[in-house]
Amino acid sequence: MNDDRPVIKMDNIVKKYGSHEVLKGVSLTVNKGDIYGLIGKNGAGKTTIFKILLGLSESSGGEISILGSSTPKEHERSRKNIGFFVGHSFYPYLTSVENLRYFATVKGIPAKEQKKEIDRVLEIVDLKGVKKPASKFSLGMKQRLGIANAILGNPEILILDEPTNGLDPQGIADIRHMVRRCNEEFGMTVIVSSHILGELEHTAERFGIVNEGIVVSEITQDDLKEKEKVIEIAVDDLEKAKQLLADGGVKVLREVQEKSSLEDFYFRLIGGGGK
Amino acid sequence: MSALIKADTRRIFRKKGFWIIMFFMLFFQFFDAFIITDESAEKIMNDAQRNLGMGHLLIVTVFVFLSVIADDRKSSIFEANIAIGLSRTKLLLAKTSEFALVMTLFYFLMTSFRLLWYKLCSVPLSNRQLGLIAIYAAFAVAHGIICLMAATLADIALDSTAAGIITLVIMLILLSLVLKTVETIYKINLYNYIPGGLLDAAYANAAVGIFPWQLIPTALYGIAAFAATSALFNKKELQL
Repeated sequence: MNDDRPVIKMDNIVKKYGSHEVLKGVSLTVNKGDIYGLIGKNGAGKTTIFKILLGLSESSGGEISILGSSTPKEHERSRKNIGFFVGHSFYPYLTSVENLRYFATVKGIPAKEQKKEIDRVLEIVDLKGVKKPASKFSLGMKQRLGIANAILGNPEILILDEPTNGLDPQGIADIRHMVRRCNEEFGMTVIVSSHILGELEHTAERFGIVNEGIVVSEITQDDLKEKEKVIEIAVDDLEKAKQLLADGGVKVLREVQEKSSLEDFYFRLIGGGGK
Repeated sequence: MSALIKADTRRIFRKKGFWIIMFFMLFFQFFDAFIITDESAEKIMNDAQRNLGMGHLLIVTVFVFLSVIADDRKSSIFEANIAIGLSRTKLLLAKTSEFALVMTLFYFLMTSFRLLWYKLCSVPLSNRQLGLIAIYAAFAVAHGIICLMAATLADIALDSTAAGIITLVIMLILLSLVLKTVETIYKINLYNYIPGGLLDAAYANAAVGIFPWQLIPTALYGIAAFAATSALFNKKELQL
């Protein structure tokens, strides 16, 4: 899916609040078709990066390009092709359909196409048929409505800031499934942030690691495999497997017996694990 | 920008509060007109002006402020609209247009109900006097819009809905009372220089057939409030 054409490029972005430097020269590139995971602990600068991308905060220095834009006016135009989830930006007294109709109108989706588009995104986030006002939604439903709003109009770029915050394992798996579907089925380039490494590892293909206001490394899943040279296999007879490896001339350097992850165990127990 | 105005207007019509406030304001126009039908024309004119201004204007403007600005600020809708590519200046222009739209709708219906009732009850008012009531209502709308722009400035500057509401109370009620008291005690007329005073003077001119030139400085107040809000908002760091 990735075709190495950058859709977002940040070059040496600095953000200062008075004398306090929140971003100290962030450079990152997100290519078309990427699922790009932005990793960092709380306060590392992930949200500030998103705020600058979305035009909610002005950088103190550096260059930014969104879908080829280079001036503030062009950035504004390019943002029409960005969908984002950054929290619960919707009216609590409106239903999911009413909220989405509001944003569909603002995004300029023609009136006659709105119903079809709203039905489509509600189906993706599994909120179709829910008629109560958003204030009565559970946290998971609110997150899903936020994502429905983000993907309304099929934007080229999808920005998700901590979309799984506060969700239970099923909710996390559902969001992960939606993100992958948006990327694979609808061709969206996705940038998703989290401080939960395991979650991003399952979702993203490329990663930017942010620490103290700087992207300290950009790596891919392939890089991880290269660096680690570790594969994980499940066998029914461990001794026989080791014997086969030895017979094939493969030397086992290290043997680690791992318990199943809590997530694996949970889903085996209750079923599910993403649709 | 027009898409935002359309979406917001439809949203406001879906608020229960809109219909509740509208019902009470219209009911009060009927009720008020009903109990004064046997008064003199002058008394009826004064009552009509009092009931379209001051307290009623405050109720309508507070509702409009909460619906157009505070709802959006509370739910980060400003941020959402900017993030999908709407410029901040266009966002403020849309909001100002919504002030004008919703205020006009309220006052059009309130004034129409009142005038219709006067007609039905054969209240002793000439067509010219009925026209003056309509002009007074139009000036009340203008006053409301300027105060709403000032309230938006306060809200954005202090990140506080309460600051916006307090600004409305000050501009629509307290400032007039204070400046009129100052005039009485110290013989210094400052009231005529604030939007409310200028619009009162404009109405007085219109009532005697003189061009209400005071509308020009009143409009300048509106432009100044918009320019200040826009300058502040364009520099404002918005939160996610």
